[in-house]
Amino acid sequence: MTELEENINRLTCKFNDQNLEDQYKEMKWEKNGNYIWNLMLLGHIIFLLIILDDIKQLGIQPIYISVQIICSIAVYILLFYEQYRKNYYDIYFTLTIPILMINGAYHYYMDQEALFGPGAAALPLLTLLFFTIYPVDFMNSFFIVSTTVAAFLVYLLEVGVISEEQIPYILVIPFIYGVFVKRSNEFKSRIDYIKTEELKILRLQAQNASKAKSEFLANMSHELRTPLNAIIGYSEMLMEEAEDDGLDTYSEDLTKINSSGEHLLTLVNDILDLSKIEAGKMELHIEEFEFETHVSQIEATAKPLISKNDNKFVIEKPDNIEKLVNDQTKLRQILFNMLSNAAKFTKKGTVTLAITNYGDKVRFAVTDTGIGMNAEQLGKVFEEFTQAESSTSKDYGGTGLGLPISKKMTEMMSGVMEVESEEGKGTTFSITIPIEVKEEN
Amino acid sequence: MTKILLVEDNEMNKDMLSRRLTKKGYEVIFAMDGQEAIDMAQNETPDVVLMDMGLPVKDGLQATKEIKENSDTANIPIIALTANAMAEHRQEALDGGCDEYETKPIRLPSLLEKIEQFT
Repeated sequence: MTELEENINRLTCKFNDQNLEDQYKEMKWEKNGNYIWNLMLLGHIIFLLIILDDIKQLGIQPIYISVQIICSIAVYILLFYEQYRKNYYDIYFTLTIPILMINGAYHYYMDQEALFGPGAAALPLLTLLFFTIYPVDFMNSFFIVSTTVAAFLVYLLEVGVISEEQIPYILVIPFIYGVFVKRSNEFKSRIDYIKTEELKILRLQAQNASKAKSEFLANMSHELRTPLNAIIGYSEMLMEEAEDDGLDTYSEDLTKINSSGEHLLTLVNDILDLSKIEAGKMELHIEEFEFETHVSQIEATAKPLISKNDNKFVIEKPDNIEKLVNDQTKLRQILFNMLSNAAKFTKKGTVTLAITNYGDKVRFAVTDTGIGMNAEQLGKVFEEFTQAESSTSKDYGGTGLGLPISKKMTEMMSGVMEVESEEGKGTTFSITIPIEVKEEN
Repeated sequence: MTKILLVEDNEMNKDMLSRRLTKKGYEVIFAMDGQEAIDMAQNETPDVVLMDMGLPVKDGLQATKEIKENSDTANIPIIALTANAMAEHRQEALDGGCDEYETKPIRLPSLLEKIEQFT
C-alpha cells in the first residue's frame, strides 16, 4: 500500500483525516452541486408518481405513505443546511433505502403476487445517484451495462430460462456493478485529490521559502549597510584629518579600512541585486532620456577609474541620436561595470566605448588593450563569484558578481551580452539591446 | 553661514555627518524624527534639509510632504538620504517632493555639490 492509499480507509472509502474529508466533500459539492440537485428533484417526482400509483392500485396505508413522505422531506430539509449538505451522499442513501424496503414490504403485504412492484423502478434511479459524482463514468458504465443486461434478459426470456416476474431481481445487477465502479472511481478520485493537495502545499512552501529568502536578503543588506555607513564615513573623515595633520602612517592604514568597507558595500549591493533578479523582483523602469547627457554622465564617472592606470579613454558614438527609450539606470550600471572591468585589467593602454545604432537596436561595446583572457577563462566569465584566476581578485579587486549581474540585466532588457578576448591583446565586452531611438532631424 | 537641518535617527551617522559638515563650515542643526523635522523647519528656517527616509514617528516621505505643503517652509530644498540604492526608492523620494537624493553611504564631495547647488 502506498503512502497515499494509507490516507484513505479502504473499507469506507473515506479520508482518515477528517479535515481532508470535509474539504474533499466541499470540493465535490462545488463541482457537482447543481447536477445533484436536479437529479434529486427528478428522483422525488418519480417517487411521488409511484406513491400515487400505489394508492390507486392498493389503497391508502397511512404508515407506509407517511414514512415515505417523511423520508423525502427529511432529505430536502437536511440538504438545505450547509453543514449537512456536504454529506448529501450519506443522507440520500440512508433515507432512500428505507423507502425502497418499505415499498417492497408493503407490496408484498398487500398482494402476495406482486414482487417489488413500481418501487423497483427506483433501483436504476439509485444507480444513477451512485454516479452523481462521476457523471461521465456513469454514462459509460450505466448504458453499457443496462443495454447488455436488457439484451441478455430478452434472450433469457426467449429461451424460457426466466419468467417475467424475475426481471426486477435481475435489474439489481447494474446496481451492484455500479456500486463497484463507483467505489473504485471514488478511491482513485480521492488519491488524485491528495496528490493535488500535496502539490499545493509544496508550492506554497516553496513560495514562502523564496519570499522569506528575498526578505531576509533585503533586510540583511539593509542591516549590513548601516554599520558600513559608519565604517566608510568615519574612516573617510579620519583620512582627511590625518592628511591635514601630516600623519602619513595613519593615512595609509585608514585607506585600507576605507577601501575594504567600500568593497564590502559593493558586495552587499551586488548580492542584493542578484537576489532580486533571481526572485523576479527586479523591474524595468522604461523612460525616455537624452542620449548625449547619458554618455557624458558615464564618461564623467568612468574617466577617473580609467585614467588611474594611465589609460586613454575613447568614445565613438553616432551623432544623430537624440533620445533613447529604455531603463536608463540599468543601462548605466551595465556600461559602468563593463568600463570599470576594462579599466582594471588595462595598464597604459586604451579603453574604447563604441556605440552603434542599428535603428531598432543599439550596440554598446567596450574594448580594451589589457591582459585579455584565454579560452578557459572566457568560458567562466559569466559565472558568479568567478574571476579569471583566484589571484586576480587579489591584484585587481572586484566581487566577481558584476558581470553575471550585467548579463542578467541585459537579458531582462531582452538584449544579449557578448565577449571576445585574446590573451595578451585585450577584451571586448558588448551588449546589444532593443531600444527605441529618437533621431535628430 | 549656510544652515543645514540634518534629520537622522542613527546616532553614528548623525555624529559623523555633522562633524564633517561643520568642518566644511556649515552650521548644522538636528532633528531625530519626522515630526521634529517639520517643527524645526518651521521655527529655524534652515537653508537646506538633509532628510533620512527611514525615521521614527513620521517617516521621511511624510515629513517631506508636510514641509512642502506648508507655505512657510515650501521653499526649503530637501535632499533625501536613502539607504536603498534601488532606483524605485530614489524615484519614490523624488515623487514625494524631495528636490534631490543622495545614496548612503554618503559621498561627501557629491553631497557638498548638491548642497552648494541650492545655496
